[in-house]
Amino acid sequence: MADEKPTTSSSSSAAKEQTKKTEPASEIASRAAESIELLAREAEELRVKLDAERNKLNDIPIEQAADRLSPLPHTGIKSRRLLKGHAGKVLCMDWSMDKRHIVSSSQDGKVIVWDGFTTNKEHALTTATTWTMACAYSPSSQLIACGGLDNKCSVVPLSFDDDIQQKKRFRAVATHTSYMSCCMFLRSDNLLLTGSGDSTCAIWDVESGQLIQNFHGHTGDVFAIDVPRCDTGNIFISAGADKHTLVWDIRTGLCVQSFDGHEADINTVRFHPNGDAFATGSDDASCRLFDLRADRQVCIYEKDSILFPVNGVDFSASGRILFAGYGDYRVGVWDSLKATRHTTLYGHENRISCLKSSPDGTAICTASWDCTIRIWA
Amino acid sequence: METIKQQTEQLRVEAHVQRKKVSEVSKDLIEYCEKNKGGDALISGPPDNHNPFQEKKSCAML
Repeated sequence: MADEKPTTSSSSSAAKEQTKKTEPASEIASRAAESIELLAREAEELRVKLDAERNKLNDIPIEQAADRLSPLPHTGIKSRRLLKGHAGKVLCMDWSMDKRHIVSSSQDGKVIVWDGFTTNKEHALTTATTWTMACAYSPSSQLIACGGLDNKCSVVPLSFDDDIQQKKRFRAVATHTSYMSCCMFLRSDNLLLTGSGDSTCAIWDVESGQLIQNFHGHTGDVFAIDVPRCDTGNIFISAGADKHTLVWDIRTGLCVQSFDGHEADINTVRFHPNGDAFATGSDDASCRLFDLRADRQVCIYEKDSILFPVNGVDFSASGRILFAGYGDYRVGVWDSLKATRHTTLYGHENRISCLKSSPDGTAICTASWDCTIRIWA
Repeated sequence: METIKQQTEQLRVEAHVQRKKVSEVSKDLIEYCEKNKGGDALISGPPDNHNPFQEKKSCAML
């Protein structure tokens, strides 16, 4: 409350006027500086508190809890199919829900649909771009989504009369302001989730091409996204160059959890079949297991002898095996509970760019810069 | 200013996340893996002893 007296001399009121005029600018500036400082202090305090809270929960390591388990038996997994046909580095692949067909995309802009049983090529499509970094099968297996350096995600219906005017059949659904690095359909053929070098993720309506929700929060390129298999919740995860995995609420577009730990770019993320944990693979040559309920890292899969980036991770059907595709051309088969490497699979002649388990877990598939795709079972 | 506001707001949200102990989630993960081991084709073999990818290619052609 101002102590305004009715009898103020004119000189003092003039002086007041003067200070009133000069104050605002400096006052606003100092107030802003003050509140920035306050916010910064609060942020720092929150960070310390969060770290402390998360560390408090790190009571018994998972390896120790899994000690009593019998070790993973001999799996007999080996390379069963070799899919040859790309003329450039294969950058991405995805399984059809029929557990048989596979789509792959390559550096030269080609997208190929394969019959995984017979290794036959069923469709070969030329996209409008080179470096088709991402491709995905729709749940009904009737659509393919793909894109990359064109900053777009386009869909193409699969029918048996390829050949003529195939370029025209591609329809752009999503447009980012930088390259599109990853895409997947969200529960239906009509929703597409994309991640981009513009550090955002977005959900698009396939039919209309309209943006439904976008997700801002990453401070670097997004390289990978995933949704839980048992899809009751409304979340997805994304990760990338800022070394963080973020958990997003699909409906609100808000980030609800954030996970750190990796020391370099995260190239790949994949949910555990239980839907509560997820694995990541990074340029720091490690894979890690995080859990939503623990709100922290639960396990790390690394060895001194492994120096190369992890470009693809996925689980076996029970979650016990964690497969990791490395830049040193090999597939690591990890016991996800004991955190030990069970075996190594050899076959590719250049870096592995992508790795995915088939929908029923009967096989895994890897794409490589050696221009081939392998199916292992 | 906007950035720091957002960051702090984000941290406030994260501070309210409910958390479980690592030992608890480990137990759940172990139970899940053990429970589903039988249906894991790459650990226990395919349920009907038939994995289409494990046949020899010549068989697939016949």
